[in-house]
Amino acid sequence: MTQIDPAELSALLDGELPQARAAELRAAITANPALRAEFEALADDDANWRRAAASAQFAPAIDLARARLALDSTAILSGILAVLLLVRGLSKLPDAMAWGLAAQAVTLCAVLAWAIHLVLAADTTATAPATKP
Amino acid sequence: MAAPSAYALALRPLLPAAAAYARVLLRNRHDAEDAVQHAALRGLEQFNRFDTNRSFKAWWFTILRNHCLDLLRVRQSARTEPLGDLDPPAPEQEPEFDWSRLETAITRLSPEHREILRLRYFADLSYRDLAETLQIPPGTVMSRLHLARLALRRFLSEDEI
Repeated sequence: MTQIDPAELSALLDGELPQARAAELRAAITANPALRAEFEALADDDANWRRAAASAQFAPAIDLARARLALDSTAILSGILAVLLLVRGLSKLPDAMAWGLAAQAVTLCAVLAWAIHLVLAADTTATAPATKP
Repeated sequence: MAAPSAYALALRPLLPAAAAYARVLLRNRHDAEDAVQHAALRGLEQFNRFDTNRSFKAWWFTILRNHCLDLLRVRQSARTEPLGDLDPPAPEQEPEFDWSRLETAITRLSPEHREILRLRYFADLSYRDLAETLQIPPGTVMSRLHLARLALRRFLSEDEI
């Protein structure tokens, strides 16, 4: 006779057992009235839960456009900061070479960070990740 | 302005279950909607770092779950939320379903059992997603879920007596 872990009845109900094992369990349930009663009780509970879950569902109003705007605003502000630093660096260059160079270095970093941010943000529109069942 | 299409495409089918899960955790429809919005935003911020080898559903529900748990902790510390203020669906929507009886039984479960049942049914997570979200082995998911079901049935039958 097939040895059955009681938890496998739950897994069978949830469709989480490999096909071969699921077939073994179904045969055992058919042959064993006590096992069948246990499985049917689990199935009844499962149906109750599913009704509860269905009754709790609603369609939330999600504004992803606003969320995207917030992210883009960060990138835009970074860009403005980079431009300001660049202008400041250039204006300082003749009088204070050191400050000018430092400003340009910071500017370069900011521009690169901004560009990377924009590239990564563009990547998110490329392909949807697989939503596993 | 267009939302990031890949993220939006992946997220959209999860929203009704996300709303149900947040609603049953936070016991309030309005708070649930805010929590889902917050998780959607947080997920969008972190989407660049999402590992495509992982389940998107488990990843995103982890964000939502963590946010809901944070809100519950804040509520608990503020102690402004009266107990038993469940905001169930309107009775006329599901007249045959005894929501309050089930909720009463759920509150008697251990936190681990309560959590796995809510994630399984309200968030509709598979065993693989449950294992990833709860950070437990898949075998533990199977046994814990089964024990949770048995415990709930016991509490429900006790309520009948």
